[in-house]
Amino acid sequence: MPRSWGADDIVFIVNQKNPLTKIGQKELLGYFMKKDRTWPDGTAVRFFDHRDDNKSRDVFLKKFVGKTLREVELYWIGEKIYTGHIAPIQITSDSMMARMVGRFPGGVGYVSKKFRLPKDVKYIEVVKE
Amino acid sequence: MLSIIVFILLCFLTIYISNYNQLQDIQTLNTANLLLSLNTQAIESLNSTEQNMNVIFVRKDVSELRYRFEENLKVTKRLLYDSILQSKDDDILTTHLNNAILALDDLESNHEIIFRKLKNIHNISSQSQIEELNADLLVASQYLMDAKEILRKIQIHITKQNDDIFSYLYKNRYRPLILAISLFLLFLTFVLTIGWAMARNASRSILNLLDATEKVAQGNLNYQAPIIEKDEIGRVTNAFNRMITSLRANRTQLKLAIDRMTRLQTITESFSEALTPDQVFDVVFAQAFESMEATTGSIVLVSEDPNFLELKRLVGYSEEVFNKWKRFPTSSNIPVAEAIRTGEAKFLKSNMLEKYSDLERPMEGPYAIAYIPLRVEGKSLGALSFSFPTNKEFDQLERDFMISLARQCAQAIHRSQLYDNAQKAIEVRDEFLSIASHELRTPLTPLKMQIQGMARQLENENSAALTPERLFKMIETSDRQITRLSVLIDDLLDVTRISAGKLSLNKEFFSMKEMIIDVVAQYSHQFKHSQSPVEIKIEDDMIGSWDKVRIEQVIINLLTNAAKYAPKKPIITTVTKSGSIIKIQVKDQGPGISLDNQDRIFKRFERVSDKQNIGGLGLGLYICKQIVEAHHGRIYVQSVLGEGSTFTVELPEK
Repeated sequence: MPRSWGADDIVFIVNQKNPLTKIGQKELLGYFMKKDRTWPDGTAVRFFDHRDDNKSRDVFLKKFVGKTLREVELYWIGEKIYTGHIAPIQITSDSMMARMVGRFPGGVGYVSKKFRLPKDVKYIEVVKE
Repeated sequence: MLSIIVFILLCFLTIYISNYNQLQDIQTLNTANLLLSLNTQAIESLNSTEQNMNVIFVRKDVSELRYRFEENLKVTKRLLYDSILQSKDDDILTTHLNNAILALDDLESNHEIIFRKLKNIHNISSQSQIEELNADLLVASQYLMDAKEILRKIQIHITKQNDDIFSYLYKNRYRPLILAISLFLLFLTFVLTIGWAMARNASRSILNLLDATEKVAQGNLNYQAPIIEKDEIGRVTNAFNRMITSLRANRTQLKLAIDRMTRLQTITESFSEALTPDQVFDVVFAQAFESMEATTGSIVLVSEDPNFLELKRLVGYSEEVFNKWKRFPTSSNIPVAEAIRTGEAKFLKSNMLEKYSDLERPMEGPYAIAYIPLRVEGKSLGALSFSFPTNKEFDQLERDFMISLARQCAQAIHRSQLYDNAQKAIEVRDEFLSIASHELRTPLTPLKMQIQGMARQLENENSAALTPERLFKMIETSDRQITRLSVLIDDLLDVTRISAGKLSLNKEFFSMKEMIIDVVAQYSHQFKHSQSPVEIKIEDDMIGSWDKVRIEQVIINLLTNAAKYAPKKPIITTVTKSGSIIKIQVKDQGPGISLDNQDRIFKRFERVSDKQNIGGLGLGLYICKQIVEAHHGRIYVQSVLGEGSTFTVELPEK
């Protein structure tokens, strides 16, 4: 298991077909905030998020995004109005998260550290800059 | 006017072009609104699809759900295709719409899987299968969200575009007004400029016209006022210029007329100084001919015989032509003869001369020629002709000039002829006086001597010396001298009568034979005295109507002349008849008369002999010729020097 920022809480996963093994924190945040919509090889980015009641999400927002839940909600309202971007689909469980990331070649998401990954997804190291 | 119309049209065109973008924007706005409406409908349709998806798990009858789902998707896609048709030029919009349709395609293919699984939902037992189905639905949601996201982007794009257009329209809301005001100001400036220019041109035109009138008033007729515009003032200026041109032409004509008048005056003065016809001709060709710039010219006069014309001067032709036409009949078919015959001037062009076949052409090519008769007191003296090297029509001024010239010339010729006649008359008179005084004095001297001798005898009382024989001889001598005087005076009287045209004939019928015999008998003592026997040979007699006294005078003159010039030699007188003509010949055996003198002896005061002892006035043969010609006959002499002379008189019967 690779070491990553907040590794004691959540880990980031991507489709097995994704050639990358690590990604910068800013890039990953850009993918979440839909500032950047494609991977370097041109594949469409599909970020999957957990539901509000998921503990991993709290960790993700607090330690990774650096925004509160309310701030994120307001952000997506603004995005919907001004850019048309809609917040990522929220998944109910880590297994469903892994399944969705496995379905889309450009899929990216996060699961709890304890979760065992299926074959069609892999960890991606998030490098703090 | 045309420029104003063009300007207004240009203004309208400018307004249209200026508003064209705004019209385009408004059209785009309309399209955008339509797209927006379509997009909204598509989003609503997708929302409906989402709702259907959300109730999948709570609905048992999925077939109805599927139907709705498919219907919604179809509607959405149709709306998107309609939107593509509407967004022709917007590449971003078209790309978004295409992406949305692709997302919906993905959704459509995904929902096939979902509904297939839902059909067999009763076979689903494991948690894993449920999660799989759930994942499928999440994927479908993802596609749906993609499509919605794209549609939302389209909506934002269109809204932004609309905002831009509205903003642009708002920003430019005063633009048509500003443009209209600008155009109005431009139009006003244009009108004012045109008005100013027109007013300036009008004032300049009027000033030019005034300037021109002043210059013309100062006598400058070559000045032409400039025409600035072809307006009313321009037309007035043009009319003014035409008037000045006409005035200049008239002044030129006037100058020409004055010049011709002056020349005519000069020529008239020259004519008045010309005393002889030759001098008159010199004036015509030295002054008139040159001043008219004529190429050829001629003067033709009626000869003494009015049936013939004589060419007196010819300029511009060869000597051969002059010799050919030196004397020609008045009836000739040439224009100059025609002008003399009719007394009317002829102004012709070369192409009008074809009917005169005998006419000598003065030059090659077209030319104009004038024939003006020379007339005095209704009588034709002849004609002048002038030719010019252009085929022109003579104007009235030229015609008048030539006619006046001809009139002056005719008077000058007439004067010169009168002068010539007067000169000749004076010469004749002087000669006559000289001869007459001598001839009249000649018999007076012996007569006076006889009378003085007789008076002396009587004074000396020597009457015994005046014997009857001597007295008879003295009286006889005196009588002879008196007779001689009487003959001289008769001759002089005859000449006077002839000169005055008062030689009248008293015709009567008589026998020529008898008359000649009587005359010879009457003068027999004279012939006897001169020892000139007269032989009369009368072959034919004729009784005709003649003036007996005058014919006797002719015969006596011829016989006494023969006796005078051929004394002591016989004189033969013959009378013959040829038709109605009687021929009387007097032949002597005198010294004869040279050929040169044969014509001269019939003129006044001409005597063949220069012998001093042969007296006379030299009028005898002249009087004879006049008498014979008055009888319409003729008299002539045939003579060979040293062999005598034969004088012949031919008289018609009546």
